[in-house]
Amino acid sequence: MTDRVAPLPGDSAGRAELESLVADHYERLLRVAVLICREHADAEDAVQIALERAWRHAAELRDPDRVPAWLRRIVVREALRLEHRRRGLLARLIATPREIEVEAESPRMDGALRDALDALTPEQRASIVFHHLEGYSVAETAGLLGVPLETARSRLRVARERLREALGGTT
Amino acid sequence: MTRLTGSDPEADRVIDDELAAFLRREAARRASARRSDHEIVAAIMGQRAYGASSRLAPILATTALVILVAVASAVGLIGAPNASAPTASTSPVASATRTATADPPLRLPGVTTGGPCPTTHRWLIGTDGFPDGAAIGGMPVYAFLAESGHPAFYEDVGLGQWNRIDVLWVTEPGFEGRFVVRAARLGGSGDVSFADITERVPLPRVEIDTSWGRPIRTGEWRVIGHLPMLVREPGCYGMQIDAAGGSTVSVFEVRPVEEAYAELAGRSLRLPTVPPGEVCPATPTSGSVSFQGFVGGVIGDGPVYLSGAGRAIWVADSRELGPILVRGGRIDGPGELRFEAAAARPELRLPIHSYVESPGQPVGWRQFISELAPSAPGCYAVQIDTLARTGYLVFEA
Repeated sequence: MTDRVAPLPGDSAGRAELESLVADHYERLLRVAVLICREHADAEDAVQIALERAWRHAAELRDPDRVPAWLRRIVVREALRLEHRRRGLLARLIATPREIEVEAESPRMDGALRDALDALTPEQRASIVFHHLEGYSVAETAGLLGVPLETARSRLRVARERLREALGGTT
Repeated sequence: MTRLTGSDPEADRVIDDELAAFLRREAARRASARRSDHEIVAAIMGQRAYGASSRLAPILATTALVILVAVASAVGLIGAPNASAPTASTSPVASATRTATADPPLRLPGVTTGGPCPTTHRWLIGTDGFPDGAAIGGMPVYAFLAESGHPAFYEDVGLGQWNRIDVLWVTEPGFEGRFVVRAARLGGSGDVSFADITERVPLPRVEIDTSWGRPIRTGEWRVIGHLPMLVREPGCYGMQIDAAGGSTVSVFEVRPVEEAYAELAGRSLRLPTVPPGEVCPATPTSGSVSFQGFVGGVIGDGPVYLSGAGRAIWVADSRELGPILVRGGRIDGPGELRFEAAAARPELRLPIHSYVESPGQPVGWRQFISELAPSAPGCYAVQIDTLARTGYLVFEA
């Protein structure tokens, strides 16, 4: 399925850089995106867009240490945009039948938590992912999401309470 | 980790740990199905025709084309000139191999700004399993992009300023190899792109290989699959397809899909009625929808089918590629039918482009998932309007 469409001019020279970007960041970025997007394809698109942007603007990225956080911000922004677009297009589009079957095999607690996670707003999910999965502080989460500290704190509080309810309801 | 709430720090820590562990498990589970690094690199570099390649790859890889194989018998090409179609051109080309720099010159017609769009012939391809609509193009490559007699409709699918037109590509029996597609807006400004990704440099040229698709039978028509075309605004557009077997120019109008929905909504709602106490004449379950990964029976003979009466799965077969409007109500007594319980919508719009897919889903088929919210138990009917037809399904809820 490759090499069927002519590459964009000048792209071939940067293939090695792109391969390095993908190898270094794709997996971890995807794990963030899949928790924000309820559709796997959206999560992949969000990560792909971020990596493409990083690849095309590699020369402008002067500080390599800041690349991961920069990529996360793009991924989250794109994931939120795609999630909102999906909700607007056809409300409550849910997983494919194959994914439903997978869910049925999961532990009960994870099922309840999963429902609770999916019931959060995309912004709340992004907050909970950064803070509880990635280990960022509230201030860092606010910075990554581009929102005031109090907004991030409020989103985290609400999201955590709802997940805590789900957790408590299964024990 | 910063604490947010609670008066028992130890209990909070346990909860935080459990949440983090769940998120790690869930992230790993959801990310387990992913493309290879090679595929991602290829997609980003534009070596595929569209960015969201993950959506098409499973289809091309696993499509069984059950329906096509089962019933395809007569393959014929019936020219059906559009009433307003004065010009279509098919001519041989000199070379079977070409590159971007060796493409034949574009021969798109000139159109005066604001003037009429000289739409070209559409073609009806008499092959079972193909869309009922008409295709643009010509020997040996055809593209289904609209219902017969209608413009091509685009949707805003969140690609910034780009709007997406779903295009289903098919090729004639005996043709194998690559073909080049180029498109442009006529009589106005506005880019065209075949790259389905935001903020990408417009890609008005795409090269497609017939090996992407599969023939219905050996030596028969080949279904390549969906390759979207992106435009920024409505207008008159031209598309030139250059293949070893010929070069064709098609001209067609492009309009926003909202205009199609407005037309469908303008049709009267004429639901069947059932006297109180009578048996609900539920539409029987159909056995014609069966592809790997699809769960549950469906009702109806298509092209739009329904599965379930709460969380409903709508399936549209390859005969219907355009927008679908669903409205309904109770037919054995007072009661309403709403869609998406929380929003209580009086109508359901099933878009041209569906994100939901199953393994083995035939090319050209679509799935949509929604909620049906009847106001009370009873017998209900839905009217399904498409640009080509109106149909009904009856069910108990």
